[in-house]
Amino acid sequence: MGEFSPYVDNGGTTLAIAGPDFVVIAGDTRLSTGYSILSRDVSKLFKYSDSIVMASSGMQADIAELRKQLLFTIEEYRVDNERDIELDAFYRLLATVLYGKRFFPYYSFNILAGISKEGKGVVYSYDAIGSADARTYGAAGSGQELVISILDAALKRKPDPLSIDEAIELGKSALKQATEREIHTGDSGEMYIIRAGRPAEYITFKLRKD
Amino acid sequence: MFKSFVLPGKEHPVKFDEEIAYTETSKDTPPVDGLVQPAPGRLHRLHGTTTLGFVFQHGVLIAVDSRSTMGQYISSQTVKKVIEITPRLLGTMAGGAADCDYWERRLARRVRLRELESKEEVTVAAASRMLANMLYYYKGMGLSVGTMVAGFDASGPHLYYVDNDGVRYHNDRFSVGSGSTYAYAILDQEYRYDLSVEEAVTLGRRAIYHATHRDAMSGGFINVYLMTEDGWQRYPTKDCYVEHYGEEEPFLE
Amino acid sequence: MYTLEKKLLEEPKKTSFTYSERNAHLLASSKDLKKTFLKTGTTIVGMIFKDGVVLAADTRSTVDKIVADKNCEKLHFISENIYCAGAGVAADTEHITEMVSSRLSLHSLRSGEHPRVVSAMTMLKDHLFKHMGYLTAALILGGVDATGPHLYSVWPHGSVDCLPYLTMGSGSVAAMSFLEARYEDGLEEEAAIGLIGDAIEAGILNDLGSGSNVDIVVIKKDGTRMMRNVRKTGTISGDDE
Repeated sequence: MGEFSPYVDNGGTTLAIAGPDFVVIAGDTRLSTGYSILSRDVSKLFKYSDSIVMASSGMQADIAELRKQLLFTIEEYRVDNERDIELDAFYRLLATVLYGKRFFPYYSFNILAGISKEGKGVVYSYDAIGSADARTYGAAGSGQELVISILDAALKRKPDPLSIDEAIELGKSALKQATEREIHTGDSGEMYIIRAGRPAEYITFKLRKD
Repeated sequence: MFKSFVLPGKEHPVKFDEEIAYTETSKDTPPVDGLVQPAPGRLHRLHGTTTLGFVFQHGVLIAVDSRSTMGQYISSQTVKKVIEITPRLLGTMAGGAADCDYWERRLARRVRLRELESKEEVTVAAASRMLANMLYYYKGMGLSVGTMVAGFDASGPHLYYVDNDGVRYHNDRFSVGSGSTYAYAILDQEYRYDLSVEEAVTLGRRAIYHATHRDAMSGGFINVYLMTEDGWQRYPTKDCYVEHYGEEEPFLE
Repeated sequence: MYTLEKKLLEEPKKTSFTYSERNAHLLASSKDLKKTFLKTGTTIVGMIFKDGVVLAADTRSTVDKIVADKNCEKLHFISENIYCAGAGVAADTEHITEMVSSRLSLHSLRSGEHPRVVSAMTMLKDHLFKHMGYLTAALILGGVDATGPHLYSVWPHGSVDCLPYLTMGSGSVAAMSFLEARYEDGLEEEAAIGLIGDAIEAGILNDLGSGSNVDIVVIKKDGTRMMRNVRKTGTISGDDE
């Protein structure tokens, strides 16, 4: 009764898959609490530059605040350094911003996808307080366990290099499979396809709405 | 420095940690029809770990596993638990991943600035003291850090243990984390000061491998670093799974 | 705790609810136990129309946030002329309806008549009341007997409502909005099926505990028509199906 309860879980699933010179990052667009759908069309993806996209799940209010803080900081960075922020700097920035709320964390689970200076696709996956590691693929949110199993099975011991079309199809299908079995995921999916040296391409696809 | 961290209202951060942020499901709110879904234990990461380090005739050897867990869920099998502070200083990671990462990075910054200012290398003793002081400042706030600071300076190789209580010990060998008792069993039995480099690397790997075998929260890969007068060097990463089953993977193919 | 232990020792060897005290304690203290029950976070609807009664349900069953069964049956057979839609813990609804079904079939063999809906309702409510809400079964019971069409809802603690249209389960509010808007007395069969389908569909789409397909059973004086998966609401909204 009257207990301090600052967090709400708004559900949703995100994933990212990196390849030799590209990266895809995707999420569903359902926003829910408990058994209710609050919206069928709220994006979990946020594009910070042509080659940096962040996917966030968790609590929508915290995510909105986090995005605002990040936008503010990278704008400062742009003014100070007279250039856009690079992926490796953004990766540290996000970790530091998250850790700034170490004792009152943002309830957000983020995946960062982008192209490194060397032109390689990179995925960083974060916990709520800013511990991050570079990976070739990652998943987060309410369907994390389901999606990561699918990606593990498809990618862990894949003999040949991953093509971009394979990555797109895998991303879409993993999200669809999660929607089949996880109630907080669904409605529609969206994906950014980032190729080295090209602006990110945006696509959407349908998911179950029940 | 204190003010730079946002605190959860009047709540004490530790109380907040335990009761709201890091509990599985808060209290009795049924997940079925409650509007407010409390934060399930998804905020913490990396609690099980095995890390070890020892000083021997050629320098300091560090060996760590690479698993990161959030409760039952293995959130990563490829975590870098050795943090490269300077070319002649290394830190290890046990406890909270974000806590170790942030404070050791902060330590790296302070060490670098001090070196630029004084034009002198910071000793292992000084670096570990800086870290211990930073952690002591936040004592009781719920940080979770269990680290070894390993380095080589003018007075030779050194190994320090520093944790979130502000404790700082100097010794010839340590093991930290949930699998440390298993690692100690091997380490204590076979450790000698006059180990060769090859023997030391094998001992480090063996101790970590056996710890990952018994401790479910440790696993993934084994990373080994050797710190000598010329700085640290990294040895090839080994898969715990392959260490156990051999190169052939029995039930995958 | 001492008294509970003593009670447990004294308890005769039969199915009892002595453990409910312990279970309530475990539920309050443990995080995992309450997630392991198979729950049918559900939308169920019942409606009286011109020629009889129509019941409908969705087909999703969940364990916490995971869908355990995408096409389960929530319309339970009681007798040829009586069906029962169930929400709550799957095991409870299935076993209670099965028990009532078998008792009623013996009853009707003895009497040589179709069982009456009130008999089923009385058995259900007595059983649920006896167990003081520990059986999590929320039921909509409908049928046609010698005295005409009947529709009841039976709540986990044993209370009963008797109304011309009813909804239950986590999707009941969504479904009720359709019934309140469009229900009227003496609806034709086709209109009734259309309305009840729309009501379940509202539950499927708006309530996360409900999903997949619509099942409908129409009970009339001259016979019963069970229609599985009348609408595949969950899958048609997807990309390829």
